[in-house]
Amino acid sequence: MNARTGPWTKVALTVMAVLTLAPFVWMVISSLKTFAETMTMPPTLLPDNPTLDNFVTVTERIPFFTLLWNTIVVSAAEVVLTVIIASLAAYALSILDLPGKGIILVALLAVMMVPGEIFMIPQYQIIAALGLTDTLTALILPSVFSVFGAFLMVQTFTSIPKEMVEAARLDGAGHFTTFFRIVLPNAKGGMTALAVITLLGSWTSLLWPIVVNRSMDKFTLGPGLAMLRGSFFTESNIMMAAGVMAAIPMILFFLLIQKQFIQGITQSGMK
Amino acid sequence: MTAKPTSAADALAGVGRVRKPGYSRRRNILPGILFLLPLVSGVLVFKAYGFGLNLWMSFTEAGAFGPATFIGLDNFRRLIGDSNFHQAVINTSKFVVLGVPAIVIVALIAALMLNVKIKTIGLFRTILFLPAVTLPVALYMGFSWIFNTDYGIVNGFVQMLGGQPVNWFGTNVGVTTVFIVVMTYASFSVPMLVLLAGLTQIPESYYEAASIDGATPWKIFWHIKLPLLTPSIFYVATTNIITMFQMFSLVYIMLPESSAGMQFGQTIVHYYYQNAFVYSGSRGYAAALSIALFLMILIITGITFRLQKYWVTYDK
Repeated sequence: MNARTGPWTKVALTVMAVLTLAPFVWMVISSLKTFAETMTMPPTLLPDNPTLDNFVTVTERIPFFTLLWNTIVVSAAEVVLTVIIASLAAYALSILDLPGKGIILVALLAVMMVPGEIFMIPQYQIIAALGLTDTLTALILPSVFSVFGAFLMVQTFTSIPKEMVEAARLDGAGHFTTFFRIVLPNAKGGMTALAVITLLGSWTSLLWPIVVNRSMDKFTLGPGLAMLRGSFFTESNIMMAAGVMAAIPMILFFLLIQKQFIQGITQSGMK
Repeated sequence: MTAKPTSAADALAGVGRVRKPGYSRRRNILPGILFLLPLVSGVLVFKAYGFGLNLWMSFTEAGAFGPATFIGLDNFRRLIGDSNFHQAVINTSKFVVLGVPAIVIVALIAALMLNVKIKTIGLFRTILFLPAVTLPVALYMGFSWIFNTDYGIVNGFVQMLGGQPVNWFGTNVGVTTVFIVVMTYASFSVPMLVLLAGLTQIPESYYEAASIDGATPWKIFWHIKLPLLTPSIFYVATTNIITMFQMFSLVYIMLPESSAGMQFGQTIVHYYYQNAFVYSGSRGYAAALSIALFLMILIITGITFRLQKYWVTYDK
């Protein structure tokens, strides 16, 4: 750490924090205005007659709580499945010392270099062939096979002392017991990192959901909100209310577990 | 999905570890296959088969109904002469060339400021990380409103200062400025944490030695912090170049279909999306487009890896 902390550092930090918060603040202010008040130039800095009506209007126009519930289900499923599938593979590739794992790792690495768009039309056709379009499963299924995650877990597992795994095996523990009782509890850092990255990816994804699903009640918050684009884009007060409502759950969740969040991101980038 | 080349290379380095020879490895084959099965089956279905199918489709022309016909390299020839594709490549390159340095510089400044000992530093770190956990669609809608030509607050300030309202979404300069600002805002938080982690790893003794020699903060930054951070900067820049090449959501939200600004803001992936899922009968062409994108990312990533020896300092 650098010891020099003059007043300027605090001033600069405050300026940066204010700039970061400004768009949020402006969205909240706009969401409290009436439609007529959003149509004034220059805009009023504070709402003349603050109203919460816009938030009610949002719930009337879109199934907000369905979208929120879908977001929770989809991101929880993606995180749990991604971490388990990646960890299982990493167990085979690092702890089990599988013959030919070098080739498997290189093949997986090649997959990782390919941008997701390459797989999108085929993915759509597979999901359609399975009759899964317009379901939550369609959002979850293709994204839980994370090659990046497997690499991250391989790295995490290689730092677990070999003696620990071997002791468990000598005590007669099967591979599944060793995996769940010994390896996973010692890989919390890597698992947190993968969970956080998967979560952010799940919240950010837009292209795949709007391609594979059509019904409003089969979307998560992001794509659901995107569907409003055009339909009442001109009613900025309602758009901003919708944006604020959609952004708040994730921000709250982040504030709740921010230590893990920040550690996870930091760890994923350190390698 | 975004490629993260550096971690993969590190993981591969651990492969050659010496292990006990012979029979114990063979006993591991069956459980090994079982543990690998979920990931590998998913990768085979969605990635390997998907890649093959996409490649095949790039040589075909799909009718809206009925089977696709093989047309050889026609899709790729069409790419070469397609002015919309050229424009998308130009736009995407513009966003990469301007956006990635903007993200890295803002992230670096933020990381340097966060690397101090003050009581409220946790609060500042939380605030500066908020853009990363804000739903991007909500953020883009917010910025659409902020830059709204008729009633937006930015043009409000412009007019207050005596200027004419700027047509942010109808001109090349306008669209480029808005997109770079929004991309930087939405993407600097994660790189900031990565660079901050890099900064905290620099041993205290380096600073002590430098200050005994009478180095100014500026000199410490240029000769100690920046060189030692170059591996982190390289990682952050490379991952952001790859992500930026796949820019889609921002275009989709901020530029409605057939809006005037689309020609200045349409990216490769947005054009891919239109061909693959909006226009009918152009899936084969979209497949060829995605392969062109893949090759571009491969070449650019290759170049960045080649160039790193000129500026990235690896300790030891």
